[in-house]
Amino acid sequence: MPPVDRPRPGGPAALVLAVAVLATTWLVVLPWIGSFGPVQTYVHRNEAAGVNPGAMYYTEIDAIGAIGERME
Amino acid sequence: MTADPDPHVADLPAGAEPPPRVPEDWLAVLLGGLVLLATLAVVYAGRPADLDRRVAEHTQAKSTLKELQKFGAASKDELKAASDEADKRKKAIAPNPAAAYLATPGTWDANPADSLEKKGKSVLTGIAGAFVVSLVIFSLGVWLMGHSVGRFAPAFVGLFLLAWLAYVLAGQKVIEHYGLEYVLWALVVGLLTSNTVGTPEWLRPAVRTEFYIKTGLVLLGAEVLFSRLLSLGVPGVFVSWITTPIVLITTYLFGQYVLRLPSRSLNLVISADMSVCGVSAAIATGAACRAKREEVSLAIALSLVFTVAMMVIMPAVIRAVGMDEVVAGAWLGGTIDSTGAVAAAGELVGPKALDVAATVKMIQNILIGAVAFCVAVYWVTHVDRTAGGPRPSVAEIWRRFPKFVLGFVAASAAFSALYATGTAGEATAAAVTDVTGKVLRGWFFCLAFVSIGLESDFRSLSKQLAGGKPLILYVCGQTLNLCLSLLMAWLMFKVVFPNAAR
Repeated sequence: MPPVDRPRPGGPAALVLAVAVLATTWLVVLPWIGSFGPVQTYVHRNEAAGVNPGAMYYTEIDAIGAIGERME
Repeated sequence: MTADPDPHVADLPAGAEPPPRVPEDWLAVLLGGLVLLATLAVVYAGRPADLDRRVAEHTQAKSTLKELQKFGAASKDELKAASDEADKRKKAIAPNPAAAYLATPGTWDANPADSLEKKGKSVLTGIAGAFVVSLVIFSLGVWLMGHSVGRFAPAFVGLFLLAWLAYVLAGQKVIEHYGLEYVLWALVVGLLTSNTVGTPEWLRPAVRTEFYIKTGLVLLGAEVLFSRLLSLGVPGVFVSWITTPIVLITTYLFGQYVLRLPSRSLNLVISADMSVCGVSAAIATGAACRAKREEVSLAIALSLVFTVAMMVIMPAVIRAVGMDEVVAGAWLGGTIDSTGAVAAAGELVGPKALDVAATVKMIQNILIGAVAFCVAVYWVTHVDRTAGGPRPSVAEIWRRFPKFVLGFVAASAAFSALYATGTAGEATAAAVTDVTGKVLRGWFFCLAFVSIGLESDFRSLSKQLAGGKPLILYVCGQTLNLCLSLLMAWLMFKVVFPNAAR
């Protein structure tokens, strides 16, 4: 199969810009959002319940063992 | 995922590596199997001398829990404490010595350095361990393929560092708790690299998407435990295993004959991830039908966006209409794509909803095995054949069949059998998959999605959205899913089996 004809990459300046955007979002914006009362309450509830919303499969949920014990 | 036996090779410049000596699918089965067996051996070698005492302690803890449940007077906290104790006792039956040396980064709030710790313990050793194991496993695979390990190993270091970055991005608490899984950020990291400075030549020998995906899927097989199918009894099976295939097939047919999506594989992957269980279903189905990388990426992105919306909106709707907690849990479990998001949404509704939602989703997760196998068979016998040509022979079907699916199914069968042997078997299966599933499989998929990003560009991704048909397919399919799941949840848990899960 011949190489795909891809557009030219944006260059180092584009990478620097992308990194700056990511850094600002992750180091400033998201922690700020995380400081809101309702968001903090929601996060603490999940942590107390052993729930990981980012889990891809049921085995990744910390609480699944305890849930299984209750449901048996 | 693509039909080429080793597509990354074709993209390499002159002097690139020859086709692999050993087919990638078989290598994935071999390496995945080796990881599972090695982990099982470590768990077996580390079995405690007082095994019988530990099993008895677990039995006692379960009895305490059952007593509390029987009388119905226990508070939510008492029940949680008792079930946590029972779970802790079960885990103590089969400790995994390897768990201390394999880890993924932790979560963090404002300081990414906090991701180097989990529950107060450093995970740096664990991340290093995961790197070493992954490097050894995949270097062995590269060597068996007849490719240069000398070129692969340094490239793998770079790829692993990018995957680590993706995990750190995914570990920010707001991102993590709103269900935006690490595969999305792995894709972003890869795309940002390839679409700005371009993927460096020295990194390309490690860009092996299909290899990482297939090996990860063999490990995932060990987590597909058919013995847990009846965890919620017959009503759970109806919500998870009857409704889901109906939605999947109906959505696929809608995409084929009404929307006329040009790509069957994109249609299948979206139908599967929307009806079964999100990202893991997209990965398994995409590999089984040899979907393009961009198609899997689009399906996953669609799924995650709608997951965030549904995990916020559905609990609000449930509270507004005063829905019964058990029916609500079954509805959430049967509809929200991502497993973690299901649990979070269930928790927002109430403790019983969390239990039912997570269990329904777990039963749906188990469906992945059957879906991947059936999709592979369907694809090879009906789709991946010469137009107008004769029906493929058995030998031809075998030749085209994605062999890694056999490893996936074999791992599932073996660990389901182990789980079914009793408490010690359950604890052993969980101890193995705590490492192979939660850690190694996660890293392998992360590496795969960084690789997809490194091989893709924004233009090819946006082409997949042409006409908005994939979005329409998802919305229509999910609407059907919401309606049918609610009907089935109500019928099963309120009418036919009103005492189930109470």
